[in-house]
Amino acid sequence: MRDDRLKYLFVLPAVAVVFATAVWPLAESLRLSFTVGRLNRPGFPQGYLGLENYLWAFFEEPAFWNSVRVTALYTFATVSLTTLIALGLALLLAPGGRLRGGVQTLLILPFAMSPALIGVSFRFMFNPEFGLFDAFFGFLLPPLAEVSWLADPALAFSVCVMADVWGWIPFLTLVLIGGLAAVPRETLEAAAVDGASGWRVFKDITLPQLVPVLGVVVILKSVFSLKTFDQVYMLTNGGPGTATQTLSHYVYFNGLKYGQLGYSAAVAWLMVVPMIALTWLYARYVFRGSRPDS
Amino acid sequence: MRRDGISMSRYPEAFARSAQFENETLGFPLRAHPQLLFYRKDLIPSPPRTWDELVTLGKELKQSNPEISPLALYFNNDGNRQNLFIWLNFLWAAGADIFNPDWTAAWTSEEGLQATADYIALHTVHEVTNPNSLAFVEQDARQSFMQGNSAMIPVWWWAYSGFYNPDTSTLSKEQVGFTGMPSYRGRTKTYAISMPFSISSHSRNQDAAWEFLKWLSNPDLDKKNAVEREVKGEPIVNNVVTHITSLTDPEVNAANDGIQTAAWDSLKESGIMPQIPEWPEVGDILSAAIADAAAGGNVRELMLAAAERSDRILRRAGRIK
Repeated sequence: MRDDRLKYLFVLPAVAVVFATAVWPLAESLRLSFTVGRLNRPGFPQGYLGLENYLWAFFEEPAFWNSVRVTALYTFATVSLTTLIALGLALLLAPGGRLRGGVQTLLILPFAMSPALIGVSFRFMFNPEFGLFDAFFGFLLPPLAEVSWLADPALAFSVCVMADVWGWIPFLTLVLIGGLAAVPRETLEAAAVDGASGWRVFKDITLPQLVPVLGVVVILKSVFSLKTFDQVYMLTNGGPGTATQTLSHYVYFNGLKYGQLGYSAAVAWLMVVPMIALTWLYARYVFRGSRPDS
Repeated sequence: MRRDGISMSRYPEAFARSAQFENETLGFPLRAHPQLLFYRKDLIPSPPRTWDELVTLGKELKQSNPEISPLALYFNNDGNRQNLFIWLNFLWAAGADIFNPDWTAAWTSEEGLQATADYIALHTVHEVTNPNSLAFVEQDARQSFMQGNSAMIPVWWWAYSGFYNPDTSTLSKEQVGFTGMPSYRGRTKTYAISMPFSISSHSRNQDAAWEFLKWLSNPDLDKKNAVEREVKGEPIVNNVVTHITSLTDPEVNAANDGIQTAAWDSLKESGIMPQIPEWPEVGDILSAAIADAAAGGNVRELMLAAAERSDRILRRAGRIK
């Protein structure tokens, strides 16, 4: 067998697996999104609806727009907070020191926890009657002692953000430490010799060279924040009211709890649009240095 | 059922209805629950019989025992529509309902809106509820009662044994009392829930399954489960029964402090949630509206907005013509 055919044969199993687990379900969900697709009625998926599921989301469902708003706010808050805190921690840990190895190992622990477990833990810790964080914040700031964190829409949202930021900081910190290690030491030393302050060194030398890594970090985190489900499901289940209902949560409830698989497939496909944009950006950042012509 | 002489009349009507759909029996309610009001006997010598009495008592309790909240309620919408359980008592007692016969929202009648406002007012106006009731789901409210932080809780009867179990509660049996749900505007109508068991139409052994279901649901076993206090050396406590004969049985009542008599009373006028496929979605809309109202939102506006969404959803589903 010729070499150019053999190489396709070798990748065929992998392509088949990707097709069966990603391409086919995606195509099937796209088909479903144009049907009635009610699980709780006979004759699933019942019939062709055209664009009605999409139009229903856009023009008839305030809950859809609420989940879009919640997801956008959640993504903005978690991405910016996680990136900023992780950058600060990375700058502190990058120079090294005796404790760095131990600290880095400790840092990975929150990231190793499943989001569902983080959600349950935060729910317990913010329990108004016996929650550890609830008591801690009440002790630090007495006016907060009477606050029911998970009962107030804004505070419940902030607890969701807090839990996500806590879980993601370690991973992003480690990535950024790697990015900082790639900044040439000579440029930093030259700036210091020229009398540049620490802030100037960071602003004019470190940050510009860290931008590609920061770009990847922000895009990656945005993708994960956009599809947040398990943590919110366990922590607030979208409440109070619909204050923390993300798009993924909305899709899950409509598809599996209300049995409207056609409609939830349509909303899921609407989520695909920003995902594709972010994936395209991510691919550009990651692979731009590996093109044969570059 | 006819061949074996089994009738659904052996169950309280609400339990039987929960195992039926469009007048067809689909299973047996093997575990089912009425609502009761549990209270601290050491703090409340005479339990309230109406919601007005409960408010008065709650305000007195706040004065005499400021460290304990009068009432543990659960307004949080957790996805299981738990914050509708007590609301339904108010709604039905006021003569209102969830749906009209044509499936349009019925909770927007003046009686329904007033009943909802009065339910929410327990927290926002009278302040006799635990301040954390906005964050509570049913489990949290039970915890609050068991930890001695709340003096009363309206909840399912199965929770009784847990309320005085030393492994889970700070309360002793002498401290825990129960009574029927308080009345609203002179009427009591409670919400009941059940877990029906059925035989799948795909079962390849339907006759064997029927024999098993008959054994599992027989009245003697129902009674035995509520009277036995030990199985193979392991202590057990269960007060849950589903047959009318068990609810009214003196031996069963004697073994369970008479909770079945209170339950039977609660079940005499009792309803269930709507049995339509769209109910989970509409119920969640209502549940979110109730949570928002308890958090200080405008009751009327929220309930009207919920009705508008419900009507739209049911129209799209073809239920409203």
